[in-house]
Amino acid sequence: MSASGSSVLQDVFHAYKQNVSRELQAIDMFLGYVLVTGIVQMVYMLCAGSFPYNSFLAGFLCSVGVFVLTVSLRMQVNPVNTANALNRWTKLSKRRAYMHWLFCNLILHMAVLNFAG
Amino acid sequence: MNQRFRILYLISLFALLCNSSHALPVSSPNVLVIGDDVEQSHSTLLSALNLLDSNVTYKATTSDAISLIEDGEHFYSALILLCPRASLDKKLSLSAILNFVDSGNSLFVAAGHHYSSYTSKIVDSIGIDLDSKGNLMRDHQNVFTDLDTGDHTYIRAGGMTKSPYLFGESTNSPSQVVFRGPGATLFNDNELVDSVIWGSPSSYSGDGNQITKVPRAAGHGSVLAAALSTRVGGRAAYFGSFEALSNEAVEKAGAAHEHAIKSFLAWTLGAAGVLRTADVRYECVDDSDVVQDECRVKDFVNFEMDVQMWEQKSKTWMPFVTDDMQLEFVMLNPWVRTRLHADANGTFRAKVPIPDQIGVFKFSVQYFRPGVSPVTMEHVVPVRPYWHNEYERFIPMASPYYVASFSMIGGVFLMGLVLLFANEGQREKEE
Repeated sequence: MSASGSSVLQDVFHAYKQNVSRELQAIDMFLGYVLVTGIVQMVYMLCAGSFPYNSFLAGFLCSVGVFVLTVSLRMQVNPVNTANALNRWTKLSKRRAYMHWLFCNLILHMAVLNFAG
Repeated sequence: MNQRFRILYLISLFALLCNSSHALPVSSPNVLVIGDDVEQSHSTLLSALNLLDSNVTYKATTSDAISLIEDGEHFYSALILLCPRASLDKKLSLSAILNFVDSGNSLFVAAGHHYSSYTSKIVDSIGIDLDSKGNLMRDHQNVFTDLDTGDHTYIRAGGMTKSPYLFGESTNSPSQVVFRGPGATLFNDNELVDSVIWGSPSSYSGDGNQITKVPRAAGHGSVLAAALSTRVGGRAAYFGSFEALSNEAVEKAGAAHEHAIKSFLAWTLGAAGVLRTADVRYECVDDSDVVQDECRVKDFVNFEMDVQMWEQKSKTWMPFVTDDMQLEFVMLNPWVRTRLHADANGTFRAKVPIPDQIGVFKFSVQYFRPGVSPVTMEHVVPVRPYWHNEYERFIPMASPYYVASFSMIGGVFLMGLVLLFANEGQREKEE
């Protein structure tokens, strides 16, 4: 194993592609997209000012909320977590986690659209 | 000192009461002239009164109590005092004269060498500060040689207000007007009085001896004649030289001098320069010129006002056109100042943008020019704020946030589909 920085990253990516299932990789890409959206909104607010502050909060917290909900979905769906007996939700099905995710997103987006004006 | 504060107080009191249109310029054709034998000695000047169809009454200073009031009203519409040395305190009190002017009537007062303290009190009330009675205006460069006796007191005037209302339409130079009398200056705090004839730069007020201190009246600042117009239509005119109004002076000085003093007397009686405002109207319009019921912030107001001038010849109100009238939109201080544009009918118009401030505003016109009566108009306009449904629905500046929120919804939807159906191939294979 070489100690240079670039090959460490390459090893990480390689390990990631091998060990993480396709489903989780899809969720990770979605998380990346949500993160970029949140960063773009933050940068825009820093440049152009926070004039319709409610709109800014609605948009930004929408990104944050979707990120948090998707992370919690990923945790419940990850086979590494479900195999661990110490976790509370080993008995909960994937379907139930998915329904929870959809329901919480519904409430979140309803609130966001109302608050954004 | 008390007199000038008193007249300012009375004028401001009447200004509060009075708003737009005034009564006709001449309320009655009766004119009272007080002077000793002026019917003969000043007949050329007083012939101007015949042109105005006035009913002239002559009273000498030795008459019994002179009353301006008859049956509780002012019987006369003009008072001409051609008696600078008389003291009529008991017969015609200062307060009666001030009341007369404040009621919208005219006063013409002439001062002269060795004027009395009575004359000085009246002239003080108009806003003019006379130099000592022993002093005369002298000018060694502009002497009127035909009548001067060698001490250079009969002088030619140095400047005159160029106003067709005060001195008639003429291109005569001010040096055609002659003068022999005391010098005077204006009190600073009276905005209604203007100096209309003043001395040349080489004139000064002195007693004939060598000058040891700065003269109280000299040059451009010296007042040889002045005119006051009150806001209720009253006029007061001051002419410092009783001698220059006489027939003898008019004969020697020429037609220009005669024309000037006769026009000035006619002005005092309301023959020229009398203005009134009529029919102030406004409508509030929005950006697309649709007339609204109420005025709202950031709208526009189309303001119109008619100003008319009295024409003595035809005895009618004719439209008055000028390009220097200014309109202010005031709430404690003026928020908008704009120029009023007049058309040929004397209708002054302006489109005023309402500022982004709610409250009760007023349109205010304060137009003071020498020779015309003051135009003071105030009209109140309430301005309301935006209603809740008059704001813009979507704010363009917030578009990234709108786009982000909807893209999140789309993303969640697509992610949901992916999670449901992406593994179907795999599960089928497993099964």
